[in-house]
Amino acid sequence: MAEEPAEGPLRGVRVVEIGQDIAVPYAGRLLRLLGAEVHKVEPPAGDHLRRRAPNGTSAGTGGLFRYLNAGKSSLTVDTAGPDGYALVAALCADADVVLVDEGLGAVAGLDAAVAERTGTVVRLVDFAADGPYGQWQASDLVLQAAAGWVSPRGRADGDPVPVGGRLGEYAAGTYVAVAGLTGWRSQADGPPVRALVDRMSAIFNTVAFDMLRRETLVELGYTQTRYTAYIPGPMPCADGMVAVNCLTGQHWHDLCTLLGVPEYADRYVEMRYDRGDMAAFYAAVRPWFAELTVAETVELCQAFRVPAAPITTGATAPQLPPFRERGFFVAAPDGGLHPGPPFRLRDVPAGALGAAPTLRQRHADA
Amino acid sequence: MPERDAFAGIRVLDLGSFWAGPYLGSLLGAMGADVLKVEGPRRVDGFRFLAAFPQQGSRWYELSGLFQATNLNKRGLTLDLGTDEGRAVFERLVADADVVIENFSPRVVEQFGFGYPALAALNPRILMVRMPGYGLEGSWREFVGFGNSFEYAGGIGWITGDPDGPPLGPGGYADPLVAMHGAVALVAALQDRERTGRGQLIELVQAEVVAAMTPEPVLHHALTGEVLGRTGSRSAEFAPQGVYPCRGEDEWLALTVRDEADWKRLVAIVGEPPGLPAQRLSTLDGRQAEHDALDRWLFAWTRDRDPAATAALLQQAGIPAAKVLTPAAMYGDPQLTSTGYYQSIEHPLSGIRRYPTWPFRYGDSRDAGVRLAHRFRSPLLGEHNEEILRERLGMSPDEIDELRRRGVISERMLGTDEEKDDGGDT
Repeated sequence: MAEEPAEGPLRGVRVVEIGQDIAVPYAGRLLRLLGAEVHKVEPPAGDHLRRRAPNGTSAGTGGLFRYLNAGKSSLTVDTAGPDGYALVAALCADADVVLVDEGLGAVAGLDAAVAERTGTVVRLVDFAADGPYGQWQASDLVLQAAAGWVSPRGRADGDPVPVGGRLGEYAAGTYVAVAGLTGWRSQADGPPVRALVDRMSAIFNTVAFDMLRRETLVELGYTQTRYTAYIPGPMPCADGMVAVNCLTGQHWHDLCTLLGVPEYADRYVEMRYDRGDMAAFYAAVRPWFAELTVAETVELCQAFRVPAAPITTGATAPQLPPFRERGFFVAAPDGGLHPGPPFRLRDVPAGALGAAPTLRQRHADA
Repeated sequence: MPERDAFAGIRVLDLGSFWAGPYLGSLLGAMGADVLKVEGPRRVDGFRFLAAFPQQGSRWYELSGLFQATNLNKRGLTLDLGTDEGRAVFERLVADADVVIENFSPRVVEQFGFGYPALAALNPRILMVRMPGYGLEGSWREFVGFGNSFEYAGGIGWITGDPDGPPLGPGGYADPLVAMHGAVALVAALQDRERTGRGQLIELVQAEVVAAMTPEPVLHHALTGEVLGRTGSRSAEFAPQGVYPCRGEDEWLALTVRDEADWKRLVAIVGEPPGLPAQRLSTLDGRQAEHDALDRWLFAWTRDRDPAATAALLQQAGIPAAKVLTPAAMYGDPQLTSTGYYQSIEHPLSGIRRYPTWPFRYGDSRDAGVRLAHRFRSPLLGEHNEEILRERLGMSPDEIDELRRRGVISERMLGTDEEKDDGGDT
């Protein structure tokens, strides 16, 4: 049986998650971090993420599965059998919140109907069913493309690429968690809540209002109306790469002063929106960056209040001073390293979650 | 519908700037909270200066679509927290509030004397949501950053882009996701307050939120010693998968062949790829090995085709495919428009604009349900000064005028363009 964080603010809240892969398990992880009791329903072979390498020292259970499902209990169900569906229905009837993936992470044979007696049920689908894409097939890439996430990422002449790391799944999971908890909060004394989140509009909800931005740029006659990036972007340094992203004219002005190119200081709008010669700018400033380390560059830029950050890799992220000093990454039982909670409630900190459930571990109550 | 009023009765003081903080405030407002957008009359929300330009007129700082879209469902109040009078008014508002939101670098609210201990002394039930870039403590505490910075620092930038190209930041998606994590934590903290009677500090470190959603590079390195790199549009699990140019400027098609069945369907539509052994292409490993050749074959097929029609053709056969949605097409996207994603709202200075709503729908209907909508438009700077100070604090018209005369409140931006009419940052 899963451990219960002693002081979690959601202690006593019972959650059932029916979904494989990342999205719904990430939603369940967020609620578990806050103290909820999370019961995971898996198909007989287990969540397919269990079989995804690397495994570390835990043969047969992938590291990412362990991160997403730490501290949960698990029930594997064969819904083809006579009792499987009834078992899940009984588990859901006793839950406060049920999160169900009916799209990419669906568990065969189970949908939200299994939770008809639960107070709050959130369904996650790929595309909203009442639109023309309602019956479409999805993949991570296709969802990103449909939702505006596949773009040249600010490069005027670049081909479009998706976001790496399956961030869209985490985004969808986060919105599922919001729907689940706000539904639960509002339904305390009211009728049951039935919420629907679709992956496409959850991902699109994070796009930086490109449609509104473009409307203004077109109206004012600027030439760069397709994609905009916060310049100058990634810059190679002596020992790695740094990202410098000027959001405002003030940032740009201060950066140009720091770099010793005052002739560009008052040309932010031109450089960003109006055919500014970024190639000439890059040629002028690359030597400045190339002579400094990443740490030196970040320190100098920050001294000028210019937003600069190292571009971290899987090897360097845990050593980034704010992560290291705050003990953000924690050693996992399988030899891995897990990110910590994305939020900290200072009076009711998240407890240790313990291990992810092994396959076929059944919750005692079920 | 009660499910759309999860925060009814909750009073919020939103000191947020740019996107992450204000977006949380906007969601709380959409779900019923009474949210006051608090800005300094000389130090307004920096989002006002994005996608807005001085040539739009003296009140150009009211016109940013980005500012408007992140500040729907709020009333507007100006307060100069650098003055004794401004701080006194804020303290009175805190005494009667449930939630304070801020996402500055930590020193900003602390230099005004409004760190969490000070707020808790004024109101022990207060919940303070703070969103520092790199933490309230530590050597990077005062470092500035925005969503783009945190995406690079948190590891998602490194794994975004083509294998032979530079790392590329996603584009600021971190901000709204930090806001949504904030909503999750806030519901939990409200529950804790109902149980204990006490408020608390909720810290969301923006770089940590990104890192929590980017676990694989660190996990992979810890378990294998290898550094995950960039894979562009390709996937280890599916092939071919890619983004292919179509007819017209900036027109692209994304498609994924998930398995052998998809592959057979694709071949039935496109025809056999010339010069490649069919047997080899029947397996994932074989298709991965020939991915470059398959890309060339698909380029040749897509380049004179319409992306939307081609996506529909492939989808009809059961193959995941979509036209790549570009900014120019966002308002006309058939899925978004037909599912009511945009909401037309009139603003007194910029007229009717269509704003994104929320990806939440409610109801028993299997297909749709009622979408969470915005309750009202974004406020003009200090638009509700009178109303708020009179109703919340019982201030008289003379007292309010005195605050205005001293520049503690204002309905116009002070100290920069309103006086000089040449704008601030852009």
